[in-house]
Amino acid sequence: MHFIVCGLLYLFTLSVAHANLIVEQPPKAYGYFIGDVLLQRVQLTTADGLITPPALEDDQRIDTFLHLMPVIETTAGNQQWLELRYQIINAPAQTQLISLPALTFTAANGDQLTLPAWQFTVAPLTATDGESQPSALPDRNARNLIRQHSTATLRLSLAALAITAGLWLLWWLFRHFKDPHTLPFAKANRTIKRLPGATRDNEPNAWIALHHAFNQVAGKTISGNSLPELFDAAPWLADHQSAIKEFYTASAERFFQPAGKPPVIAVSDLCQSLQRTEKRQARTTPESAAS
Amino acid sequence: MTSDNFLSDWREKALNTEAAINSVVIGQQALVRLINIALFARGHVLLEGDVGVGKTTVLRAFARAAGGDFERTEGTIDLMPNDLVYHTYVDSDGQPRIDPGPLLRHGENLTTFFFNEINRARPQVQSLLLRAMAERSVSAFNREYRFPHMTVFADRNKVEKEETFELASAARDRFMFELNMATPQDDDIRRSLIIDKAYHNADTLIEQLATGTCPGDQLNNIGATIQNTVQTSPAIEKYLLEVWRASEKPSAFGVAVEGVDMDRLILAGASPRGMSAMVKASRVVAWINDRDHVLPEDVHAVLPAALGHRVFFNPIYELRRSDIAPVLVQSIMNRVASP
Repeated sequence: MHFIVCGLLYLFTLSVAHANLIVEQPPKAYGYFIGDVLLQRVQLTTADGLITPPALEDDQRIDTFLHLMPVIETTAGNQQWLELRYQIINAPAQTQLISLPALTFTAANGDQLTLPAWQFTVAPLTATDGESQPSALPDRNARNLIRQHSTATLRLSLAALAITAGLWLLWWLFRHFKDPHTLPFAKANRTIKRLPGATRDNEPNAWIALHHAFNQVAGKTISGNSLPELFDAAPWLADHQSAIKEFYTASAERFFQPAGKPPVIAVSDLCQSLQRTEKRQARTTPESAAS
Repeated sequence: MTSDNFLSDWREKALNTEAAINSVVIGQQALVRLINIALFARGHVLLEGDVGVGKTTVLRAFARAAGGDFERTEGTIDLMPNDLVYHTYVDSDGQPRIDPGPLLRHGENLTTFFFNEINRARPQVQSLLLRAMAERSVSAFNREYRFPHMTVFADRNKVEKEETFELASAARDRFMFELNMATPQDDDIRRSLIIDKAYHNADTLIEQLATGTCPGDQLNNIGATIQNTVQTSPAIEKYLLEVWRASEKPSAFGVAVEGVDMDRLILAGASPRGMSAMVKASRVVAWINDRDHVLPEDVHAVLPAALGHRVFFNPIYELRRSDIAPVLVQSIMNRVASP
């Protein structure tokens, strides 16, 4: 008997509390769809004082269909209102009844005031009947789509990187093997290196190879009195000017002076030194070194 | 006197003569050097140039330096070969007389024979001159006349072509050098030539030169000594042979002239006589530069003058000889390597 009395007293309390809670929740007559926002405004200011809202974990999904947006309190005139916005974030497969959750507020005098659940209809955006929407796209797994897209881009980037690296490697190999065959002093150096090491600097072919390199650099045959033309054509040889003049003087003596012991200078060292300069020159201005 | 001193003395004479001629014929140092080389290489010189640039003056200057007997003939269209050999006239007694002509008049003392405007003379006259140049002798009156010390200087102007007879290839080949005498381009020299009164009278200028500074009758001797003394190494001989080959088949040496089909350009390369003349001249260059051996530079010094007129072109290119020949020779010098 005592329990029955207590239960009746509780129900009465709720009824009274609900009666005191002023709520605005503008309905839509034609139902709700995904993306719609449902607004509940609860007046917090009463004649007895402020109503305390329940602690809400807002800005998060609260069930399959609803997302509680950030709860805000507003003031209109002397009235304070609590605004609860729920956004429908999922579309049901078929028209369905769902509800906003019931909430319990606390009045200034400690009474519990209940905001009842708000039931409403949510409909799908498209019919699920296949015949009525024959061209509708099938469901796609968004996660897979994202994964596929990312992999393709990555693969493309990696392929581009590999091609670039491959081309650079080819270019490097091309230069590495081409220079000794095309750059004048590199060619001369190859010729000189093939000669017997001990007598290399005394071999006429070593001298002739170096002469040919100078001729190729200048674009014409160079003799002792036309050295200025060589330095005009290849200013990058200026650092070796004295060594080159010495070479030409010794060469004239060796090849054209019938009598006497032919002079020996370090032709191979000179050629190597010139090759290093030529290589540096080729890196900066390839056409001038190979002219 | 040792050979070295002999050569050294003569080298000084040659350079002094050259300097003296350069003082009266200004702005032509390179040309004067080449004529000097030809003189000691015992070669004949054909000088070509515009009218009034001083061709005759420079040749007269060399003739004076060589001393000896000098003879001059003007090339004309009615000149006949016998006009060079003898001269007929009726003397004051009414008797017909035959006197020696310009070639025979001086006998062996003839040192310089100057043929002015050679291209105005008929080919018959040119032919007679060919023998005189090549053999330094002619046959007349049933005997042979020799001119062992004779040097032929000829000139022609390159402006006029009417009523002229282009020298045959064989005739040109007998000239050691064919030189082009251009008008000086230096402003100071040009000013002197037209403003300075000293250069207005060529005769006065020539008379300023000492005569016989390089006696013509001794040139054969010094020339032979030079040729015997100045040596050519195997490397320079190889180079000369390659130059000769290049004159015959330039494309084989990568020689190219823009706008010319090199495989069709050459009818005949330099002759052995031409190449031998070039080598003789190269030895003289080495001697003048106080060396006893020939360098490629010595060859280069005479190559354009000695080779340009000795390469025979296909007729379709012959009319462009003056444009093509210098480029061809320069290209040969640029392409044929030494060593």
